Amino acid sequence: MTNEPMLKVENLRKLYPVSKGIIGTLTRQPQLYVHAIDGVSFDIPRGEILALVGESGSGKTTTGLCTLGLTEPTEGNIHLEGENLADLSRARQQKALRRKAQIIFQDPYESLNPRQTVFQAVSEPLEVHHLASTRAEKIEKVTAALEAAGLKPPADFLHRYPQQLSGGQRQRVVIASALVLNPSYLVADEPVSMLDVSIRAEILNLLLNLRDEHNITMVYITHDLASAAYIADRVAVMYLGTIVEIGPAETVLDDPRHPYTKALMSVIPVPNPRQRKKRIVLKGETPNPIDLPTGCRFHPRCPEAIPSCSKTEPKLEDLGDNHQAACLLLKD
Amino acid sequence: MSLLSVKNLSVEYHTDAGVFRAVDQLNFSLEPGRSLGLVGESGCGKTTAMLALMRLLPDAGRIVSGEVLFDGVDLLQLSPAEMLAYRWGKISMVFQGAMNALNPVRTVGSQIGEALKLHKTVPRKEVPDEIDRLLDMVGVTAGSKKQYPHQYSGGMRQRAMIAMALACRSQVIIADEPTTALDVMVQAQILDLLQRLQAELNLAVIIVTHDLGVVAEVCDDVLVMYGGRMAEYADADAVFNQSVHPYTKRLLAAFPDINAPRSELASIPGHPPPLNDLPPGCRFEPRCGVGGEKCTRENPEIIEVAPGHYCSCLLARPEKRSL
Ligand SMILES: Nc1ncnc2c1ncn2[C@@H]1O[C@H](COP(=O)(O)OP(=O)(O)OP(=O)(O)O)[C@@H](O)[C@H]1O
Ligand SMILES: Nc1ncnc2c1ncn2[C@@H]1O[C@H](COP(=O)(O)OP(=O)(O)OP(=O)(O)O)[C@@H](O)[C@H]1O
Ligand code: SF4
Ligand SMILES: [Mg+2]
Ligand SMILES: [Mg+2]
Repeated sequence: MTNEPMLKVENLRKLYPVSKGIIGTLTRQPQLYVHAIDGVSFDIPRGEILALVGESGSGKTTTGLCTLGLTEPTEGNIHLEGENLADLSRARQQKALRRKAQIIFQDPYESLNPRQTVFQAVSEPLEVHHLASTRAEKIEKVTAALEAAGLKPPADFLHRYPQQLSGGQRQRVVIASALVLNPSYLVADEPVSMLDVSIRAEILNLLLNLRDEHNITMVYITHDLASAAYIADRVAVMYLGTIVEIGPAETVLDDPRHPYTKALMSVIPVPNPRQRKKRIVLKGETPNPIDLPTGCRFHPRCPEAIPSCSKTEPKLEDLGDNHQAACLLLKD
Repeated sequence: MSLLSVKNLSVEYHTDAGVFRAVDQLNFSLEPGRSLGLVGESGCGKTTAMLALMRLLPDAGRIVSGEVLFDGVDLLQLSPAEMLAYRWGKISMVFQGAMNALNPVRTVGSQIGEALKLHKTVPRKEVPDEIDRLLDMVGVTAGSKKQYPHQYSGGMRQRAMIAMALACRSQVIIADEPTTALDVMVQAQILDLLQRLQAELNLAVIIVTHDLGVVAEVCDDVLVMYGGRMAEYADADAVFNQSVHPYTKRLLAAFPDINAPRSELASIPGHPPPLNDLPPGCRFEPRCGVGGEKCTRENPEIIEVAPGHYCSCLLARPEKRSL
């Protein structure tokens, strides 16, 4: 039981139908789909942080939402603490999930209601789920959550409005509202990208701390490989709805094997002009996920592509040390 | 004499809540073919400083002192008519985010054509060819010139804005947060483009950003702003490897470095001071951590700690540096 991963995702697929419009319907055009996630599998052991890294539209948020039961997969299985989300009845699924799985969104300015005090915002989840019977119990739980989110002393913050908080403090309030239900699994979707550099570190350190002290399992979603490298135990690089490389953070960063990961690594700005390096700048932008390229979906932009790349779809290859990448050049 | 030099520029905003100084005694200069990175946290006055030197401040903004010398001519003394030859003609600005200056109801190609005609950059009959040449130069495919701005991705819009600046034959391009909302790969494409133009056309480029990494990758010189003032100003190597100002040091310590993924990041507690209620001494003092009692009383002067390396910190002393 203890060796069982906190989260197990198997062959996840999520398609969104593209609206055809009236003309499309009348002319019986075939239904097209956005392939938001197209066959993704991974495990996260309890207490580990997995970073999902990739460009806009690569399917990171959709993957996160599926693991929380907030959107239903088209195909595939998701097991949270051994329970298959699809096997649970709708009501029971919700109940099980809300106790243990939470999400933090990107924008602390939008996630908070300007007319709610910190106490109201953080206690709301308790009320929604009827998890505190008395006011004293509510205050106790909110205080503990604020404390865990690093808002100390909590009493100073209870009656403040968002306008009276700094950006970092607002994001801490958002995190406290996620913590108040004592989750064991957390999805943090770009939690620092809207924050100034000076306060990003504080939130990243807080997330690390939550893992260390509360053993919370996390998916950290970002397009910034540098912050992923800092926070994550394992990194999964996504491209057009698939994982193209996954492995221990150090291994993926020290020895990226997929051409896309290599390019991504080379363009991460490094804060030292003495370490300027040749950037592998890919041409064009990510193709749309409706009409996917044949073969390897990265081949139209890949600097290393060989003729077979446009025909054969690469599978994740084992590279040892729990490291896998999906590229035809790795197969021999 | 520098191509562009800004001296003691100060700007105030007049608001219902009172008057406050958003830019205080800013100094820098720029040569052809060089790039300057203007960095600082949100609200430290970067955009305001750039709008002031373009003389495009909103109504609430007033320039209270300073000079903006372009080739020795003080732009702040010019009549509005005289200024027209400089704004866009000599200095162009690619605006931050929503202020995007592309007209939504005209095709991108026709807007560039209009700029070419207005500035009489090329004879009228050469305008269509010049549109193609400029779009090609910034990496927009010829087929896209008949499209409208909303059909462009964020990266293509940045490219089109840069093409507009080139259409006017500007010698200075100010790019305000040119890559902030873009994916890393598109960001790299735009930075590559700016670097290439800087070298090929001998352009002077100012990149305004809060991303230290971007600055370290592409800028020759760096000016770090804090609360409307210059904290530190030097060439990029000095700012990143021999920084003197505690704010610069702490910013660097807070920035994740993919080459040192496990080195501990240290945030800077607190937040920038409200500009209408600045601390009496050094404006960084409340967050500094290494300052002394003097820092709570005295506003630091700008001193030259090494040739071309300026810093406004009371603890800073001139240094001898071995090269
Ligand atoms: N509700 C939806 N209906 C239709 N398409 C959707 C929906 N949600 C997401 N998509 C599409 O699915 C793809 C993956 O989206 P997703 O939001 O998961 O990407 P992401 O990696 O989180 O991107 P970003 O970095 O921009 O947040 C995109 O092409 C997106 O347009
Ligand atoms: N039109 C205006 N009227 C009054 N105050 C303004 C106006 N524009 C900006 N300010 C204020 O002036 C200060 C400097 O703003 P500015 O936009 O120059 O900062 P910035 O460094 O460009 O920030 P960001 O990184 O968020 O773009 C801020 O406190 C801002 O709130
Ligand atoms: S399979 Fe081919 S196209 Fe795909 S990443 Fe590898 S080399 Fe590039
Ligand atoms: Mg997303
Ligand atoms: Mg700005």
